[in-house]
Amino acid sequence: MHIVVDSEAMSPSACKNLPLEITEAIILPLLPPKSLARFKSVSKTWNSLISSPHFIKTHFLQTHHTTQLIALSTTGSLYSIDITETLLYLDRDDIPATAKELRIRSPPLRWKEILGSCNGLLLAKDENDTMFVMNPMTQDLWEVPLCPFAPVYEEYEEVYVRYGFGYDLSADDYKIVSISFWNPYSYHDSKETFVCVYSLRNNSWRKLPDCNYYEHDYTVVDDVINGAVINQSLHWLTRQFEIVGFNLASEEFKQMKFPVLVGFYRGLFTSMVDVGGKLGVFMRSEEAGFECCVMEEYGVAESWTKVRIHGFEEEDRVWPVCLLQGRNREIVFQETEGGVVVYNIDERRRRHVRIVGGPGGNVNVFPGTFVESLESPKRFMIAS
Amino acid sequence: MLKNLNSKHIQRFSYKYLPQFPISPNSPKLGFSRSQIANYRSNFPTTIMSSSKTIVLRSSDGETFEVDEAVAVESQTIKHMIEDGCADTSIPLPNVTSKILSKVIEYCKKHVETPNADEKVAEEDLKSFDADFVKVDQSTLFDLILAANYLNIKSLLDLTCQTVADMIKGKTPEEIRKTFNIKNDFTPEEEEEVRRENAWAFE
Repeated sequence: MHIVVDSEAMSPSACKNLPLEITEAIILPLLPPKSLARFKSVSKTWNSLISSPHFIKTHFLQTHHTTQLIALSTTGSLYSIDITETLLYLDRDDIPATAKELRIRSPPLRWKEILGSCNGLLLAKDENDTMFVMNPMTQDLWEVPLCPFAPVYEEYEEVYVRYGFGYDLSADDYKIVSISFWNPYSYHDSKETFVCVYSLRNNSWRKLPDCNYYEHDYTVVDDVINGAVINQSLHWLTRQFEIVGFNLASEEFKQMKFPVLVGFYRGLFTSMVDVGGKLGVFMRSEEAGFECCVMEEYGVAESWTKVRIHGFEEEDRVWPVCLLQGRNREIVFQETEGGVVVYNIDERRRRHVRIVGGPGGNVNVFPGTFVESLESPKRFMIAS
Repeated sequence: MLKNLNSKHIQRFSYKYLPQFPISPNSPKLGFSRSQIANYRSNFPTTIMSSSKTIVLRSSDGETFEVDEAVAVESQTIKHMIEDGCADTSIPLPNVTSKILSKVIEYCKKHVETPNADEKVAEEDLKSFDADFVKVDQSTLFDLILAANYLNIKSLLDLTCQTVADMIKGKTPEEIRKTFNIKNDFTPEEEEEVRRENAWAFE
């Protein structure tokens, strides 16, 4: 980008001072949130600049050169894990990664599950099943009210709820989508699926009218995976081997069929994550082993590519987490025992990640990445 | 400028007026000496130039630098000037000193020369060059930023700004004020309040 600067500031002799325009537009967005929050006390101008929604957006929308994961320990503590440095350890089988605890002080919360990660905000459930939207760095917390339209919790797990959490750029709003459906084996005997949307800006839930796709048998979303955000849409897998996309802006569902070319495997979708900004579906079957299918061009059925993942035994239960930032051939997986592994597609080799500074036991890694930002769920509440 | 040619000009040229030194589009030779340029120009009008054209840049303190056009157009500003036909004799850059301009040219040359930045060796070589390039004092670094911005050289601007960002990210607010010459317009109470709100950042 090219910043037009007042010509007075440009004289060669005034070389001690950088014009404010350059500092504000280019240098400040490159800083980590912790530094920026400290620099709010430099001057009033810097304080209002750094706190402005425009700056916060510029900051979290820029390209990140690090890969950070978000994980929970067995005791409910939240950790971020930085695995950017795998490049330095290409020859080793063992990669060190630094973990940092992200603790919410007041109130002191313990977490049950992470449901979404977007622009530095996390959607998570605490041990009492209360949902929060929070920025674990700045400690900003927002309690999400219970959805009044759908059953979200029942004893004996008779209700399955899947969530998605994403950012609607056009409306500058964060949305939570919940899809609830009764356990097909429960006594409720109902195929009804409840789809509700929560808008952070409006602090309210809405129930969406029924859509066709969930009238069929078995056409309910996979009971394990929460929505992956690609291209301004949330995505879930259905048991009918389809991908359902929910556009955050228009709030419409769109179904995408898995092309026949890629293969029709019986009920063995393992998971779906964002791989470098594209939709990646990981499947396991007896015929073809462990494969990763990527939709290179969003919405284009012909653009699916497939790559075989070697190096894992059939019994190994692994869950894809993300792609390493800037390295398209390295996928991060989590093993069920709680270990993290980086797999190189070309070398067909997996390398174990040794987490330094973590909880010392197993961690449960959220499928997706985490970015540090100054975003706050509360900024919508102040203006009104 | 080609439209100024008429049949008289065309008849006059023959092979004996061709330059004595080899010129090819991919010539690694960057920057001809002034005597070579003068000699060359005296034999031909500038309309019939070889394929490796040079551009003359003039710094604020009057020094001139001849560079390959391919190197000069790393700067979008210069590129547009050439396209708009303002680059006949030389391009004046009143906002850039010779000290800084020579450094910028060094950067552009290196980045144009490196053939395939996708290859690992070339990529690492470039990275190491960039790392050494920014090992300068703060004043020079700031001047490079200003020059990169004025000349619109994105990669240089990114590199220098990232360097400054890395340099300042661990500083205290007071150190920041010194680095950027910023006046503290908070009252002590106001400053304390802002610090308290962002206490997590001071740990």
